[in-house]
Amino acid sequence: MHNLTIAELVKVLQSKEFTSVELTQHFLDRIGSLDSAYNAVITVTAEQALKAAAAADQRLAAGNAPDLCGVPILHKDIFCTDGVRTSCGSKMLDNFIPPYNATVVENFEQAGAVVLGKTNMDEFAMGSSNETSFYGPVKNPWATDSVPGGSSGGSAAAVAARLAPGATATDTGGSIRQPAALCGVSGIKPTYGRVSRWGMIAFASSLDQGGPMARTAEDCALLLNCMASYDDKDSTCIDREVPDYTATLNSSVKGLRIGVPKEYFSEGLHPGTEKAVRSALADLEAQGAELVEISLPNSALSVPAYYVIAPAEASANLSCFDGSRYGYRCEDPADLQDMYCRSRAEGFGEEVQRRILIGTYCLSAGYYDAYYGKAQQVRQLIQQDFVSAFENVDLIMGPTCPSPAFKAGSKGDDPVAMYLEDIYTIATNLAGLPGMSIPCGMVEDKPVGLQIIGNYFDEARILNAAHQYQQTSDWHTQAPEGIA
Amino acid sequence: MVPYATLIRGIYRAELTDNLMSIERSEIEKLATLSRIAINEETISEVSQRLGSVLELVDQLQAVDTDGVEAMSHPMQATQRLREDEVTELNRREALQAIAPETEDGLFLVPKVIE
Repeated sequence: MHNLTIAELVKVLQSKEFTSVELTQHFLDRIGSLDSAYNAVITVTAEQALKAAAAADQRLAAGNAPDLCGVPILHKDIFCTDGVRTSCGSKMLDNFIPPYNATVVENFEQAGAVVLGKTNMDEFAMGSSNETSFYGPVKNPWATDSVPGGSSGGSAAAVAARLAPGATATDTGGSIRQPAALCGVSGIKPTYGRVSRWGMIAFASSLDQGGPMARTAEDCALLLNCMASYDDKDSTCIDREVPDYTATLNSSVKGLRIGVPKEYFSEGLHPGTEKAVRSALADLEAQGAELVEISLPNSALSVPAYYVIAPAEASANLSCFDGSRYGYRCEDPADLQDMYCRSRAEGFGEEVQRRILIGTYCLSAGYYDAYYGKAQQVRQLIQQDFVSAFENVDLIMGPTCPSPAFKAGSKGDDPVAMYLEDIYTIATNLAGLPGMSIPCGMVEDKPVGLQIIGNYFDEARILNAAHQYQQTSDWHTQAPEGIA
Repeated sequence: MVPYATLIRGIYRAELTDNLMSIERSEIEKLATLSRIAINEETISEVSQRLGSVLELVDQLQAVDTDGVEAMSHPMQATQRLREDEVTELNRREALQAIAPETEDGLFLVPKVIE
């Protein structure tokens, strides 16, 4: 059952070959027996899941149920779930039980999807290794001594270990694509404004975007159909019709112009990663696509620009966690300042505190123009690179990250080394463009990701190319040892 | 500007440790106050060093010519939407206060502010 894709599960549920209750119980059992090795799931909502599955079975029996009715999924623990703890991987929110659902959660509930639980993540989505979670690190199912990537490492590891056929995730600088690459699954970060951020705990508001993870591009399309919606409650959400992303999956890639940025293949890229990515590009070329070398000259500036903008916005967003109205409060505060300062020092982990301090520095009097203002200008230059590139090409492709999954603990002491993990993914967030990672090979027995970047609102074309690649490759069907 | 390859291979990092930008102790204390984060004595030098290494990284921006470039705050140049001035959310005080650390008579309680 757990090796079926979501597209296949939809069919067997609709044809009543087995019920959602059976399917849900199967995945709950897998989480129960396997997750101690991965720590991918923070909260399991077995009782609610079985109830939702029974309701889904009734809808399925009545006919005309939506595609995802009865399909079990996991939510990243950054999406608020009514009545279910939403920790964001932090001690600060260890006791936080939201009284409402995020719009994304609501969309899946309306569709009748069954929520198995909430996935582990880097604290407040700040990290690329899932080692900053208050609930402990997530292990990569392909090599448990290595990281799964982050911040959506729990979602990626859960999908890779077949603990759920799909999961929600979020991406601020690569947090969907990088863990998808390191865990050998497919994941798409849509255009900024495509998916509602309401009820999705904010990290850097001008960069954050939710998106799905699953094993195949087709499954990502099915999940994105449900996840994407216009939402009045998110003032940055774009009011634009959501196409059926599955409708164009089978289009041919003949004549598709794929831009290959030379900056993404410079020295420093792991040779095995490069080989796998080049081989995937050659496969698409064999299907009739045309490869065009392009340049994104300001690429290297994306890391410094990001590490001003993201911490600056985080320092503002995280100021609401002060021990007053919800979340962690320190014991016996002497006065109000003491309550703020100690609640935040005790409730936030090291990396989160570091980013708040950096953000505060960049926004403080005398530094604003030199840092935040400057970074927003550089962001414009980075966007212009993409705008120019997309005048000549339909999609841009390259590696998702510089090398396969690194060993746990190996970058923990060096924040900058960790930040460079997202060197190929950050620019897309700064520009607000959609990007995807799909499995395209193995190096040192660990998965490699192919990154596909599209123009604004061109998710359908990205998914189409990814699906076509998956018709002639089998990297996405491979399972870690002991999983199948 | 530091090229990608240098960044990825960590050469840049090696150069940094020799010439690490240091942040004054008083500056760290000021940041901690502005951020409302208590920092304990023993960790100040470590915090200073790590913040310094990140600031070295972001200082690369200073070398870029951005004269006449407009700052970008939203990828689609979207502007803030306005809506009709109508009540759309009901008061959910009880539900919202149920998760608060301390409340009384519909108020959030915090330590005494005025002596």
